[in-house]
Amino acid sequence: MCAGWGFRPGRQAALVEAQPLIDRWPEAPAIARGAGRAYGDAALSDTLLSTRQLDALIAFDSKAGTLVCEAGLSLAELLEVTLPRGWILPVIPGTRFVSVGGAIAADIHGKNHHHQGAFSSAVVWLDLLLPGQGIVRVEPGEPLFLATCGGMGLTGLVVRVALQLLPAASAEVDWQRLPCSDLEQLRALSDKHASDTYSVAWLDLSGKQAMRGGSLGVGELADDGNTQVKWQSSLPLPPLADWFVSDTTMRLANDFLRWREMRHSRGRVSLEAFFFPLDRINRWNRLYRRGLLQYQFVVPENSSSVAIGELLDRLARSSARPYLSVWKRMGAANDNWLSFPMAGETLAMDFPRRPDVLKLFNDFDSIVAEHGGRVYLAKDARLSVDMFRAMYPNWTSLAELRESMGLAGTVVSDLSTRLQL
Amino acid sequence: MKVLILGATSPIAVATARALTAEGASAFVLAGRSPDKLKRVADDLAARFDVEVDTSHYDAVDWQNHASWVADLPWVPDAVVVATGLLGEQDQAQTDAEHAQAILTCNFNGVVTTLEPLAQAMQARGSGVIGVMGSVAGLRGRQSNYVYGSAKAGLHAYLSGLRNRLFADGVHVTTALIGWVRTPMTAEFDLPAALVSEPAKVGQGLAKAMVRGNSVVYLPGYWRLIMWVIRSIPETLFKRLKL
Repeated sequence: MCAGWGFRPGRQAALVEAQPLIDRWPEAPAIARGAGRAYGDAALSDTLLSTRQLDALIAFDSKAGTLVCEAGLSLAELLEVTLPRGWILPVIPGTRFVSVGGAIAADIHGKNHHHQGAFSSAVVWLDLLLPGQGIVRVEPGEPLFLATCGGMGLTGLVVRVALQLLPAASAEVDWQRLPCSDLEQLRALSDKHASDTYSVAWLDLSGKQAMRGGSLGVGELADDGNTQVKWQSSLPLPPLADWFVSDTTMRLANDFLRWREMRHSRGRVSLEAFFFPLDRINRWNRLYRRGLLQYQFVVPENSSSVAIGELLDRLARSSARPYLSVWKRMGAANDNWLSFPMAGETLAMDFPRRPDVLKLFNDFDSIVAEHGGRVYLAKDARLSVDMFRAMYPNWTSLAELRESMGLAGTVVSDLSTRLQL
Repeated sequence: MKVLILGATSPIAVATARALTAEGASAFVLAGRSPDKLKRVADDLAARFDVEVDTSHYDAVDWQNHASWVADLPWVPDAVVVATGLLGEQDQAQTDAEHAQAILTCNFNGVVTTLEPLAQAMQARGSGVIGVMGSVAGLRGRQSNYVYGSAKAGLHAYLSGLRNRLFADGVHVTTALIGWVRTPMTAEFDLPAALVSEPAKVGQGLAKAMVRGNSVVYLPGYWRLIMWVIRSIPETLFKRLKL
């Protein structure tokens, strides 16, 4: 049985390890699978081409900060090599366990998206394995680049990547936490701290009323010269932990977080504590054993407060409550056809998978689409074709490219089938 | 620490090499058959760590040349990792003598003819460690892979003797009894997922055992229990089982 990070949907699949020096696409329709951290059905198909063995570093120039690696390398391993030599990934997501290939496929963003843009901004070139055509080198600006970055693996297998890193003088972050009570306050705080490099907000949406509180966390990379990377070993979930997960206990957990987060605080913390708090718990998704559904959307700047207001009203009328909610102001969109970020506000909410939650998500879709926003495909397992097309008008470019290059029948995931790509 | 790795392109060998850098390895010779694959592993080690890496063409079946190949190494290694091996096809080995021969040579004969000259050089110097990948399959012959298993069983006995001989001269031999690992070797088998471990874990275990000076280790450790059970089944019963 094989599934994404959210457990549902799951299915039987043949797992094929992409061997080093791979130069041919499998015979059967297949999709690349990296670390398996996409939440939904992006890396599910009859045949999965796993990149777990494509984890070699090919070259690292510690003078220029350029790195060439295979696509299965995890961001954790990458940072372990580059940080001690003074270089950091320009874009760091919320978990270090994703692969470089996955980061490109979802064109992931980090806490500095408002300054740095998405992961593809760091890509100098990539080698793409195309069915029937072997490996081609793709550079920024080319149609294949625009299709591949954010393209959820639907153009083939990213085999090798060259990345341009940023100089870093520390593996620690000077961080501060700024409490807020509602979204207006949060937006004002966020405006005030717009020049800070890293920023992300935690919201408590677990109560009856729309928002019980929250806090904006901002940070700058320190400059103390301490560039050694040390990960703390991740703690296992206690057995049967998922039995204790319910709306009530998660509201209590949010109470605790709010109690902690509502005080102003600052300090110097490790890279891990700032960027990867959830990585401390080994496979935390098992808290949601019957399925984890995350709804992450972005809405454009000019309508964001109206759109999020409507969405939270809709949430307040439902019986479901998100257990964890994260908000961030995003910077400008890039040209990639299916890239998620756009200038505006993004909100990600974790729910247990339940019928009422699925219904709620459908209503969310209408609100998001109506305001010109979109849902993050890396987190999605249930968006309808119509909604997808409304949210990602460039889908036609990808569909045409897939048709013209003969990818539509060979590079196939459950996501591409669902969204008719 | 200067490290020689035989069969250096296998995922466990790569993991062992990476783990040995944390234990102070500063120079590597990676030996194997495919120059492209060797270069990939060499580039990876050189880019990840500040180490010197060379590659060398080596074939376990080429026994006539093993002694001269060892003599041509740039240095006498402080650590040797043996990761050459061929699982082969049991069915084919039963009818195809050449295939049976290949399995025996890759897993056993070739290791002997390579380790002897190495052992001599290390013994003369009076230090070093040799870590060899054995297999739990060598602890009891089963109908599904006894040609491979018997080669590994021979290897285990050989290593036991070699360890005995070299002990007085300060050279240490580690036998790693490895269980199921997710590698190309096991890719086509439908193995119980809970018992298949990651190459990285096994590599780290082997590196640690070599540095600590363990003689025989099970990797992962729970195979000691599994094999204790399998070995305690009486032969009169065992021969009736479909294993």
